[in-house]
Amino acid sequence: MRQVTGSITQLGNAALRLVGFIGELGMLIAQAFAASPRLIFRKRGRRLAWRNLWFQMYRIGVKSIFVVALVNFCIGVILALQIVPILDQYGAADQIAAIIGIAYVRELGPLIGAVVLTGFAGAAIAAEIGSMAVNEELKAMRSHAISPIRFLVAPRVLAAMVMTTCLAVVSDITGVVGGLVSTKAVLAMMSTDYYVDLTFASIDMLDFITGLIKAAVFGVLIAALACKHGMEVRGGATGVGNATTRTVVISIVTIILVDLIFTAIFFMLDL
Amino acid sequence: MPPESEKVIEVQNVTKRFGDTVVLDDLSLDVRKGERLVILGGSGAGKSTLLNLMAAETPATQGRILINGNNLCDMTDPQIDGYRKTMGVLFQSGALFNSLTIAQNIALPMQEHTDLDPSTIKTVVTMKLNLVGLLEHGDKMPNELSGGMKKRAGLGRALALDPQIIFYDEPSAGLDPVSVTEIDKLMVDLNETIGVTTVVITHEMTSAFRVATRLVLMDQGKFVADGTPQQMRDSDNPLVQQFINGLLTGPMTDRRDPDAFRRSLLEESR
Repeated sequence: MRQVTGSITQLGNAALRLVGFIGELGMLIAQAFAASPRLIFRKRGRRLAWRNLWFQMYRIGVKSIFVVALVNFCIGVILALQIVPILDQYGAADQIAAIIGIAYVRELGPLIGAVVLTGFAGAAIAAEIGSMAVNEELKAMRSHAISPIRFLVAPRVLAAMVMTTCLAVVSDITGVVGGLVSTKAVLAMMSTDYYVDLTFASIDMLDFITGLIKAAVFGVLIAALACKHGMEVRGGATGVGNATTRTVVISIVTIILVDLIFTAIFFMLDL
Repeated sequence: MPPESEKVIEVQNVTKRFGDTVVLDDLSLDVRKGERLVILGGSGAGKSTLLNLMAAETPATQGRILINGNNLCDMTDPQIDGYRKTMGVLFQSGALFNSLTIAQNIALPMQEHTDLDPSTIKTVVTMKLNLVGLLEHGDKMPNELSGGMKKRAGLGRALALDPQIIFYDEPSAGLDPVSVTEIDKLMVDLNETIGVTTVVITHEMTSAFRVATRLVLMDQGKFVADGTPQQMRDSDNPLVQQFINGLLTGPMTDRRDPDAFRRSLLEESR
């Protein structure tokens, strides 16, 4: 009986911790968005804020373009190599363009882009802010009445939101190109024009927009989780390492869960 | 410092707990305008916690902290930010922003809180760099500076908004004796020339006596002595004498459990 009670208590505590964590994350995101107009439009410190924002966009987005493109291209190639022979058995090999097109634009483009970005930028943000916390830089900011939310979190969340959306487009294009390359070159099927026509015929603007909405939300979550874990770092280098690991693991799990929720909602709304 | 000078900070019956641990126990302290108050105490005495409370970094569990007569607990966030703009903190590590140069570190509070144009900010930064003796080092990154230079750069940043009060958290920690003397002289000079109220947290006695116009000694979250450097030297309180003379025997060491080590070994072997 005592074991059962203990297990229920542990489960209850875990649920409370989870709710608390989601609440804190939600609050951080809300504060970051509330601070954004001041960050962008305020006269004082605007030059510094914009410079900071551009730098974050460059670091999060521009520097990860090659990795995101490479990963998506390879997955596009792999998908086509795996699926085309099966489709061919049913005489439907030309459907590969539609399958890869829809899969990438609605799901894989935003998802894979976000997962790559988690390892690329999320870990870097958590480590950077974690080091600042260890070095008392966050405390120094507060002592100068400079809000770390406005100065550190808001630019990273905004930059990640914009850049994951852009990277989703890169993911979509490179994934489709990967599918085209393997279908055409390795499997020696279809002309480029026909493949491209089939891809565009199978996807519509709504597919594209829902994918971009997902990507933007993933970007916000990645940056907010990284900032939250970074700001909570205690205990020196070990704390920074733990925060980085937690950021990557929790971000990937969160992104996939949120993707599942989005897909279920879009499915129910027939979008 | 005459006792009738204006009170800048009043700590009234403040208690601070972390979980079940009482770090500050019903403390009361006044910081008077223009004085150089040094708060002494051993490791874990509660000095840094007291500084964090006075610098509005963390709230008190019980009691009141009045800043120029206004209760810190009743202040809104903008009011607390307003108070923070009137104070400076020199952190133990310097806490410089590592991604910015020294000049950019000093310029940041001005860029954030004033309408000064860039050329004026640059001039003020040059003045602050000169004040802390780092005129030729403005373009360097924090990792290119020695420990003493980092502290001075941190002080330059703390001075950026011309504060009325500066808190120094262990300013001499990790520095060589010459650098300690330089920092001490800087603290005294700033107090005497600008009139900035100075609160120093330290356990370095030489430095404390060199800087202080008033000393308080903390032990186990309480104040045990308060007076001028001469009054502290002449104190017949055995705890004060043990601390300021670094004696191996006295109340601070007598309360340690001599059998604790033997007991922990026995418990481990069971």
